[in-house]
Amino acid sequence: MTSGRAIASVGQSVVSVVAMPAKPVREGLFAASSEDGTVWLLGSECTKCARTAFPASELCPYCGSDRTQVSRLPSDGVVELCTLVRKSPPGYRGPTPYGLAVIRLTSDLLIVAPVETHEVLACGTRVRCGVREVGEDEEGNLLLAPCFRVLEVQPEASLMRVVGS
Amino acid sequence: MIDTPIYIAGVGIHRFGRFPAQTLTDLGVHAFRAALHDAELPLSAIQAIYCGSVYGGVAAGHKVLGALGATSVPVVNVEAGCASGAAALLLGTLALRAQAYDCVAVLGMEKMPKGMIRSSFFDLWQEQAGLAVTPAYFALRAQQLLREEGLDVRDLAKIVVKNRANGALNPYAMFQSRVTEEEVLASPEVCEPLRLWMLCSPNEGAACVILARKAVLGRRKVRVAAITLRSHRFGNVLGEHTPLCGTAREVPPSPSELAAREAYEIAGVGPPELDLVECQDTDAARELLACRELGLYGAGECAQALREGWFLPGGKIPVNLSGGLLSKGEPLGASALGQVVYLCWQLQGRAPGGGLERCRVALAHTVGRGANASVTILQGE
Ligand SMILES: [Zn+2]
Repeated sequence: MTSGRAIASVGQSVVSVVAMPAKPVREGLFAASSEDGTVWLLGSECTKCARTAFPASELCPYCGSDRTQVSRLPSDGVVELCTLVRKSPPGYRGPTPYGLAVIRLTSDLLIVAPVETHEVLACGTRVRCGVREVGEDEEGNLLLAPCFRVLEVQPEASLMRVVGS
Repeated sequence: MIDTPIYIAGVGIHRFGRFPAQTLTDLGVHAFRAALHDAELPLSAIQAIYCGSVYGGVAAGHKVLGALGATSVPVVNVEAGCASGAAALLLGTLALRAQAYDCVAVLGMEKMPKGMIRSSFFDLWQEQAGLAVTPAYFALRAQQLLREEGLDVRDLAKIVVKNRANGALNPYAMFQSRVTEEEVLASPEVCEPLRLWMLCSPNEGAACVILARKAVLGRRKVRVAAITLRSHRFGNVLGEHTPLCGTAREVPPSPSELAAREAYEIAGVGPPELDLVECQDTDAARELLACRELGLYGAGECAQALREGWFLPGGKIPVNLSGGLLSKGEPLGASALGQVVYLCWQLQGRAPGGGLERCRVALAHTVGRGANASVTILQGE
């Protein structure tokens, strides 16, 4: 699964810019490059039915096979549907408002994810995966969770395909 | 297999709403006693109890039986999200069909907190990540439906107007007042496109259905022609199992579609035979999606169905004549049986607030977290 590219855990890559130790809300949810800050959600590919699931799971939720491999999902996608969350939902301590969107990744997988925005985004808006701070856990670790960002500039070259390449 | 007919011997309900002075057990006892009275049966006739509840806690059904007079019969507490009452109905029906008993009681009851409910369904990390935001999923599903069917937010407001007008005639509904399209659109925006009044309120209530292998009373016989319960297959990004991914192509049939197909096959009827439908209007768009999943209109036909008033009282197939969850509120464990109680009344020509001239086949549908979906078809004989 791992290519030649150096993948640091998110904690390591973000420690340099924040004062407190940081960790993802869930291990194995995403990975970030220590070189250019690229963030990938981590999914799993099933070698039996060839389908991709997010978050990664040992058993394929489509067919039940245990022959799955963790893989990086494409960082880029387009908004299919988007709504705005104005009030903090239960257990959430990050910023509001934010968008919740169905995003079509460049691999054609549809995912549901938060998007950094103060308004409903139009269908077709191009977004890229990032992380956001969503409060602290009981030990005082800064919690990080995936959050997509609107791409202002959209150079074709930035649309790297990672998964399946 | 020779199909043993299963009849509804009696029904009872505790109004849906908010009742701070009453315990969950009080609500259950009320509905249970009303059903026994309706069936003209003593408690000793009940050979087993199936009790649906989501937030009821340990042995909720046992506490009701204890309060009624402990008879030592088996009590099974059932949880299947919004379909909990229907799941209890399924178990009761199967037990009678297997000839294990002659008469059982199926109870559904709930007492729920106000507002956005913290659900154990979501993991801690999902809450922390801002993903445990139930109305946003409803909103995304609503947007998809609007896009697919070429509708707009006014069409959703009209559903609320219809259901609240129906509910104004139902003394068991939480809200018994009419609203206007403008009022609905002016209510606070929750998640685009859903306004506050387009969402049902989680609340409290209880409903009870007594099932028997023989119909004894003189009133019109009502038969449980089918009761089906389905969960989901993986792949629909907006499924009620609230996944974080899904496929863009080859989306599997939804639990509601699966439950409906199975129920139509068992009952030997289809949408054209239905006289009345009660379906899951958790939000206004969900009603329209449910109608499509139940085959009341074909894909792309929704705008025409609304224009021609198919689902209005007096229309081709009235939907949520009781007022739906938008008027009644949704006490999770009780809501499916609340539908069954109302449909039974309609089939027997004794519905409060006015009945249909002709009602022989009626369908009840729920869908929710799990994912769980149920379809019940009742037939008057
Ligand atoms: Zn698979």
